[in-house]
Amino acid sequence: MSQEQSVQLTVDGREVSVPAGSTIMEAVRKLGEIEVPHFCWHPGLSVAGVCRFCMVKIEGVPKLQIACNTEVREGMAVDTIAADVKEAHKWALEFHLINHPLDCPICDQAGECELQNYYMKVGKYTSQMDEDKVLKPKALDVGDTLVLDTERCILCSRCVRFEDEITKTSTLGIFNRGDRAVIGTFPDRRIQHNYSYNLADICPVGAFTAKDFRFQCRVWFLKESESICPGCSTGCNVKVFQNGNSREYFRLKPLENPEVNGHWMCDYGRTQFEHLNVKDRLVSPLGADNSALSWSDAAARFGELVKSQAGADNGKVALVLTPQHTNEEFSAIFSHLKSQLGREPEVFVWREATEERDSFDGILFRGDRNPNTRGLEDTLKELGVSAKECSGLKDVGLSQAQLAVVLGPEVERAYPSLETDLAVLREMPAVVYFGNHRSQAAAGLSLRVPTLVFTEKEGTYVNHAGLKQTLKANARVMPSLKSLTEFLGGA
Amino acid sequence: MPLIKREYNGKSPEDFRLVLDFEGMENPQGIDAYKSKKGYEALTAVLKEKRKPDDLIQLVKDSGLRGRGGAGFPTGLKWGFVPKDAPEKYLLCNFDEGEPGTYKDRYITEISPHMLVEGMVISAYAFGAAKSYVYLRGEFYDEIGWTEKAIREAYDAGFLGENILGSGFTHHMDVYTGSGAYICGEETAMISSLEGKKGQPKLKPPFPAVAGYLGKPTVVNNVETLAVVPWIVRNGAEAYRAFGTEKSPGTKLFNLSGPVKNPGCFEVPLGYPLKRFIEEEGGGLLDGKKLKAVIPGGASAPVLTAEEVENITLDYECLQAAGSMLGSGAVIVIPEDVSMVDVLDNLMHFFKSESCGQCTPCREGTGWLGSMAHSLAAGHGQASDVERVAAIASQMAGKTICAFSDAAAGPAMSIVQKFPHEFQSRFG
Amino acid sequence: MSTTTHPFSDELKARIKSFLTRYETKRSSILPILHAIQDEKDWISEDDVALLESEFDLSAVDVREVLTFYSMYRTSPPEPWRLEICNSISCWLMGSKKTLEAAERRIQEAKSRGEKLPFSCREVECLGLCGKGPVGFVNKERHENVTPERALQLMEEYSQKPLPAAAVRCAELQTGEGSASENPHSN
Repeated sequence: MSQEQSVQLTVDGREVSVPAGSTIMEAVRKLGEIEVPHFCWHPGLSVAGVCRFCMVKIEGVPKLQIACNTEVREGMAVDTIAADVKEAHKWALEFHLINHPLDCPICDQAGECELQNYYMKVGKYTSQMDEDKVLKPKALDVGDTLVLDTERCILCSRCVRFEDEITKTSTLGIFNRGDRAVIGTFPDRRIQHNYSYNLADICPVGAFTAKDFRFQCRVWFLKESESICPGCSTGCNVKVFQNGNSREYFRLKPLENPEVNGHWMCDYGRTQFEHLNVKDRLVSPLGADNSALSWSDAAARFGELVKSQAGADNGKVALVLTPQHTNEEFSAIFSHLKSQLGREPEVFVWREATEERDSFDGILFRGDRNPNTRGLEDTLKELGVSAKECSGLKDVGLSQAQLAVVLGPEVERAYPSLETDLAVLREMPAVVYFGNHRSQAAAGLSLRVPTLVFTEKEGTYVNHAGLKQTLKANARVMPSLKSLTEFLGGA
Repeated sequence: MPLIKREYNGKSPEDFRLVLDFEGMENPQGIDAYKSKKGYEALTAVLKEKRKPDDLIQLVKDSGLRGRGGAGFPTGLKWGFVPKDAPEKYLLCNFDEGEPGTYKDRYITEISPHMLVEGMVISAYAFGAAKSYVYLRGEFYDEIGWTEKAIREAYDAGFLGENILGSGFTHHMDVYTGSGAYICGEETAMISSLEGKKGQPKLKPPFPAVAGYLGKPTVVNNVETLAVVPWIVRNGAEAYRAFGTEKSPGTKLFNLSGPVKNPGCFEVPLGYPLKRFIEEEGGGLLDGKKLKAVIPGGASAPVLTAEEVENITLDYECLQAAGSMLGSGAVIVIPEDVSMVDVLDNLMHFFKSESCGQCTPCREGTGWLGSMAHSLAAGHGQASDVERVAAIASQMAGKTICAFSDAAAGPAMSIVQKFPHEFQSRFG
Repeated sequence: MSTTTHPFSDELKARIKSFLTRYETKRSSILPILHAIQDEKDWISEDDVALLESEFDLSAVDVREVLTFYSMYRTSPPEPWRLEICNSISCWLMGSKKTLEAAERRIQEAKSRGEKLPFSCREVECLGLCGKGPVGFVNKERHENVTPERALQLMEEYSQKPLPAAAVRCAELQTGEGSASENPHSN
């Protein structure tokens, strides 16, 4: 039986064609307009078929069937809205809710809880439950990143399957049986791996909550936008959550992209919102004495520094690039210098000395902690530049240059040797450092110019596999911030 | 003890002996006793005559033998589902007897465990399994010993092992012991348990005949089903069909329990009148009490009122038509002085304890019904509670991976529907 | 401190090893191994489970799932004699509730006199001998027609017997003659 064969079926009268061997759930998902309620089914995990929520009616089949484990057949007519289907959905929800604590007012999942959402979509009944609820352990510290409330858990087993199938750590189990069944780790063991936050994501309820988000912000205040994680060369697609009013970023979550990251992202990537917020940001240009400069003064000073080196017989100018910026930025800074100098600057690609560039954890996380290694290579090639790639800045001949223009790393954590490298720069006659951190690391350089971060700019990253991905720009945390091209335009 | 008392359908009680032909023998469990009763003749014939496996499957299909564990699925059909070309296949004998009211399988091994061993080897030959397991419930300490001993004797006598009787057919057999979980009687839960996991039923499809134990084709048959196979091989399908009814051929072991004068395990032709069974084989109720209700097929069968019992015959189709089921053949008698409210409490407690907890409607539903039944029995109920029991039960039925949820829902619904007056007198 | 002995005897370790290779997969050995541990020490602790992982390469989560799912495994130190009475429908119809009450009353009465009987009593689900109800077990021995009178008589009879080896081993481990890390009272 060939997987290429496609099968035609109808769902609520709408025609859809899917590959043979697909399930009704997959067909419904492809159709996109209809939702079959579900808890245990997750597109990135095996089928468990235990929540029994996704009941549909199939013409000619006496009993309702679950959409997640029923294979499509040619000409199948699926009904997701018949009265008995709706009744089954309502009751399935009631069964899920009878032992749920309904502590939504103190639950961080509130607002993005599938129990809540489905109650509004398919529930809206008066509960028949009048008996005592089963009590289970609460607020368990199960790892550095997660808190587990087993009473809120609806035993969908997504987390168990994630640990079995994705991380292959099998840290979670469901213990006991019947309505005493309870999710958990082996006593006193913790979930310690680089994918733990995914457990909070896939938990349809508030059983697993992320420690770094607990009690921080109600989700309905958050605005969601799409972006690319800058944490490594995989380039996971992400959703970035920002408070609509304060512009403060609170978290990153994976955005499904089968070509790149599937449904997941790593914990290291999750932390890539921390450097975005205003408290850590360099917000105005700084001079060598660390005094704030206006944008126009800074542009003028930059112009002077570059012009002073213009002309063929003048001193060496180094352009130091880190693979943490967009193709467009690389191109813009190079072209600007070339036109202002009347010759090409000497280009250095600054990489972290201690990186294990080729390491890969087999899931998503790569040793190349730069989002745009390939993009930088491609851009330099297009520009016809042969750059000097250096592992750290020591002993690479920078000291011979009269002026260095540096596009420093956006994610400083990816450069643990930053301090050593900056010491090299400090010894140079003149350095213009483009960076986004308020930190003192680059203090004392001739000129420091704030840059935008990945969520604030448009542009291209090329991931490890050569896939071009486009960044979209959110509002800047400070409206006064300027992009690199805006800055260069004024210089 | 185990035969019907008097002539039935023009035949004498002795004519209905198929399974239990070993009574009164000294050491009936031993291989010599078994061989003296034609034991291993069927297997020997099959292997010496090089019978075609497909012919054996056809023979069992023709006999109309249906699974004796409870579901009544045609045995030959089940064997026929196994892919012929699969390199590794398993036979799993369901000896997890745990349906309240049922104690027939242990009775078979008490009398003659070799009947089971021979039946298993023939069945394994029919669909090509080189390995089989007898899955026994953990509490069956004696039965485990009997079965192990019979397997050892069969190995010693050359009926198990490599190249059995020079036929080229190799079959190995082992026992596996559960540890206290009713659900392991469900065939895919049993497979999970044999795999060393929690006894949770597996999602179907795929069915075990295609992907069972370790993902390999597996047939799960009840002890009683397998034990009758040698008889069918020796006597033919027609002879087997001479017993029972058109759709329920053969004899079956029925267990009678509850307050009757003569409880026990009886071999009875299918289609036999339930009332006669209780009154004649069971000797009627203790202390001359009147009958109130009967659970005809183990705790998961919906109850029948005394009036309904009048016209019931013990076969698959009659009980199904009456809204109940033949199940494992466990007839449980409820006398007039027992309240059905308490029966509900007892049954729901059982299902609450034994739900595997995997599917939400069952896990939550059995817990909920357990609490409700308990509160009704304690006199804290009200009229709307009875309606709630029926509503919950109706939404638990037909919604889960296995039939356990239905097994809990059926008795609950039947009790509240058939005995509403008993609940009224208990409301607080 | 006494010398720390392994919580599993050499004989038990040998049994565990034989189960590990008896079935098609190692995982299948979990149920029989837990039975074997319980047969030796009367119950199974979290430490035992951790040991199965560290020494025999079985997943602690897998083992704990099994341990807590099946009702025959004991996860805390039991009384030497366990009276288990079936209270499923057939036995219940024959008065198992009264049997349970009588046995429990006997244990509680002794307790109120400051006397601790070596018995526990609990109801269990169907034991598969429904025609001879109420059916019960004392440890691994099955008894039929266990009326309240018979239950009390059984308790009397078992009181006279020497304690089972597993109970003795269990007590030894509790008083620290076994593994130092074992803490049976944590449950």
